[in-house]
Amino acid sequence: MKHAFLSSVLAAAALSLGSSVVHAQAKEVKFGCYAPMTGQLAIFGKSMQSGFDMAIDDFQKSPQSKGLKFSIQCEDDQGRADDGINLARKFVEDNSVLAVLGSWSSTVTLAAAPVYNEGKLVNITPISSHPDVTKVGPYVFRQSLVQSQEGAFNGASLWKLGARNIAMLGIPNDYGKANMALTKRSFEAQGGKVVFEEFVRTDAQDFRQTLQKAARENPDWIYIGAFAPQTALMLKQLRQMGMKTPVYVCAADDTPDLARLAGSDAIEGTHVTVQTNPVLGPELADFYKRYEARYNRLPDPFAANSYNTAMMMMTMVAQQYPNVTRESIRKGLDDIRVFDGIFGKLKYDPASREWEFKLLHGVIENGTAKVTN
Amino acid sequence: MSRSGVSVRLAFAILLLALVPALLAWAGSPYFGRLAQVVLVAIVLTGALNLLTGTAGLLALDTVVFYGLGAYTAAILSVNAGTSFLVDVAAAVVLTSIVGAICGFALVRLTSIFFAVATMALAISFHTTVLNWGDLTRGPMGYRGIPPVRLFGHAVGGWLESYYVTALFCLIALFIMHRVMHSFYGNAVRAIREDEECALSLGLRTRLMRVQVYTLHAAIMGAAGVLYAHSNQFIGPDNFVMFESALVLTGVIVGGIGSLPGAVIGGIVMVLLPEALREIGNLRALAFGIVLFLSILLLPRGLFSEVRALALFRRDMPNSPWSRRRRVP
Amino acid sequence: MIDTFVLSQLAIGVSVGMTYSIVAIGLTLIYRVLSAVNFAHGEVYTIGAFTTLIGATALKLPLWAIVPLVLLVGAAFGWGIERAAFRPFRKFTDEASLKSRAVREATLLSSFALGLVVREILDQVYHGEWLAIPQEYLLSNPVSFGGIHLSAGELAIGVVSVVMLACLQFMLHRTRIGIAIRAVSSNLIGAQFSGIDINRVVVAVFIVGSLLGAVAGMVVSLAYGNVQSFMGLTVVIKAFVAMVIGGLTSLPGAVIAGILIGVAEATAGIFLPSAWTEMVAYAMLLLTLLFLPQGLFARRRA
Repeated sequence: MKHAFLSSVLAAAALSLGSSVVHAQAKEVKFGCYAPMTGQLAIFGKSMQSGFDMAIDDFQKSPQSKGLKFSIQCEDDQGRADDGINLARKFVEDNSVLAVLGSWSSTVTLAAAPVYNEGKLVNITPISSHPDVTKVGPYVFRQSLVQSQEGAFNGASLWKLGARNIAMLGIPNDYGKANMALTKRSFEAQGGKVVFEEFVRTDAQDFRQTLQKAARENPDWIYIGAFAPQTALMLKQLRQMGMKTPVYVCAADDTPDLARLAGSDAIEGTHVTVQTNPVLGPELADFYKRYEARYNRLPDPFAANSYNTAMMMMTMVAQQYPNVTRESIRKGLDDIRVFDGIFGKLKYDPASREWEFKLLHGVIENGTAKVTN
Repeated sequence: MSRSGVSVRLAFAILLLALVPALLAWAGSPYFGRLAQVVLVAIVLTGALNLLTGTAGLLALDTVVFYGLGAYTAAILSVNAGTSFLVDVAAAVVLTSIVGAICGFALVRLTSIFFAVATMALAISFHTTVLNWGDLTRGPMGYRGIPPVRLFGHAVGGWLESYYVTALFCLIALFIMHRVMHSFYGNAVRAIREDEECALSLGLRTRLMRVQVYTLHAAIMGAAGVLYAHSNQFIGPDNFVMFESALVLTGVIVGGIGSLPGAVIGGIVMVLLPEALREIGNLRALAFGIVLFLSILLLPRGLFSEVRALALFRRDMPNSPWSRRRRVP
Repeated sequence: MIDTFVLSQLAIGVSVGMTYSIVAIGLTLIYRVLSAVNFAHGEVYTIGAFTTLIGATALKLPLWAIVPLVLLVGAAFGWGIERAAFRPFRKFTDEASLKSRAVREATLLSSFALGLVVREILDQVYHGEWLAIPQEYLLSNPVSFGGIHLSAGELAIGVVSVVMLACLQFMLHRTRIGIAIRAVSSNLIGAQFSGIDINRVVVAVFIVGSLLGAVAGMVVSLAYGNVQSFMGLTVVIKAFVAMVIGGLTSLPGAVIAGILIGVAEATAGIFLPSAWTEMVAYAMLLLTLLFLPQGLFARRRA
């Protein structure tokens, strides 16, 4: 396992010395990657890299790989759009890069995507969920949950649970704004009413003021559209304030980080939209076991998605080899209809250019989400 | 060292307008072309801050306010009203001058540390406003799809042409700053910095001059913002966090407080160092902090100190102590 | 009869404000003596919080053992900051040089750079992650009176602030080193003539100030439960604002100003979305600087 990793690193290092000659003979395939490796979003970028690494190792052990050596080394975009754009320009000019995976943040992906589109280099993001990503152009792809999907599911779930008047709290970034807007739209379409809506500060530690304001409106449910660090604090503070209103959190909080940051007590009984859960299928359950064995911690949705997308890309390249070009990859992604990976048989809809992920409603018990339906 | 100020300036202009584009065209890399444009914008920013912090002696952290105002003006106008580059520049300069004058009047009473803190407060407030006033600024998503430079109805599409436009504007801005700094006006501003009471006693209107310098620096930074918006075609609140002000300040300090060549060097270093260090990746910010710390400790006057800059540019003035052509009166 | 809602919002404001105050105390002490801002103070606060985290998770020490550990680490760190960022600029020890603008600006930048370096090192080690202090250590038992719910941790912050302030006043007015500190901050030349060693005093001030900062970090992390490498930065800026509004050299002033900022933010938060309350502190700062430049509690240097 270590050899493969080491040789991929060496291969990447050698290739990244600015070689613009396509190694037609060498059986080394390089994908570019841009993700937040430092800064506030660093844990997410590292999660992505962990998914990629594991995918490379697993794929290279299988006969499908035809002996090809893949490399996916994530370069740091620090979660900043500018760095994403610079990296995009770099990758477009580097002829040894066949396709690029990334990024995590929708803002970065959206900013960099036009560069990839103009440069005719495929950019596929395994994470960014903003609806506009796939609308940028024919070279921009996505294999993850889309906010429009999630928003619709969240709204429907809340309605099914009996929520009629909800309070919504979110974070003011690309994810939070899209998530809140689409969930709200779906919920109101069913006939529900949003009695309170506010965006909190991402760097704050104390959300009680907003929580109190929300409580004042007497909602029957509280919806939180934020990432684990903020959601964890909110759940802890809700418990502290003795508020008994049931809480529903977004799919981004379906991660072991929530329990780690909030403690199992605070999140007990919270409802969540689940995208990555072993109960979804045997392949996913198997992935969970192997990931935990390798990294000593449970995977989060970002690692899982990254693994799946990497596997798909590598499978595609191996199938097309030796006639693999940037154009052939784009065509491959356009033509594919089903991919059988850790999420089971995922279906691709060419009209919307989105993959259909299965979403479930779960309730957290003892620190992990238990799926109900 | 027997260079004269004029020859240095000429050499620099040739470098920017001939040598660098030739290199870029030979390398054929839009990536380096864009990088060069970023460097040019950084040079304008460090130059303008140097005008305020170096020559006028007012330590300021509000770079992002005027830079951001200029950039967003360009973005909003050109995306929604389809204005051309020059109109954007004009609008941005007018807006930042007005805002700069108002802020200047309000803040110029404050002395060094209070002034710095007030500018920091302005910078953070600006960032918060930009982040949350989504209707105007598209909030955290940033402004995408800013059209490239359009001059007189003709779209300057190619990256090399775009570079030329940026280089031209950079040189114009540098020239303006140079003339302000190395003139009797510049001397007067320096005098105010060194000893305000003495300057007052000589009849200089210290507060007015400080406001003028502040307004000028704001206007130049606004123009730089427009340049950046059009060359990068994307701006977002992340470009205008308070930390960016600190970055520009570092460029001024590392290059040399009070000297324009120093500011140019500082701007170049500030952009190219993180790029060169990209291989280290994660340690970029750390390296930046170490560089700042070491340069304050070991090289407080910067790489090209003010004294050297003054000496360089005064060599051509007759009757100056540095002049080689001394005309005995 | 004031609405409980408003009262509890204000109570939250007071408790948040106290987190600013508790950090402002150390910052103000250093400023009093050196007329220099220590921008690395936020990192002392962060280090205090991380020491608590390490003590709780890796070393598994009981709470009463963590406290002296935090004090030790804070003091050592303070000494380090003084050595690295402030002493190199004290080549001459006369008043004009020590308090000259160039030196003040240089130390501002050098302490800022040092703070940045420390923050980035922490970031490297902990990868920018939010880390949680184990449940058992947290002071999160709810305490309520009236309709107001607070946690034990927040009360602790308030109590610790007051205790810190009291101890500091005691030290400044009743101990020898305290008198030396006051002498140096009041009249440097006179103090030197009286035989006081400037360097020792400065080092002492940094150690004490950083001690307080580290304790602040410990208490706040125990109250809220999460630590992250950047937590010091946001707090130190607010603490700095509190110091300026409080009158730059007044310790009780800084504490009161901190509370005022917290309450003002909370009041604004009742009407505005919380994302905008960020600006309240800076608006207060600008107003104070423009109309009341000496701050609220300015007094002659003493």
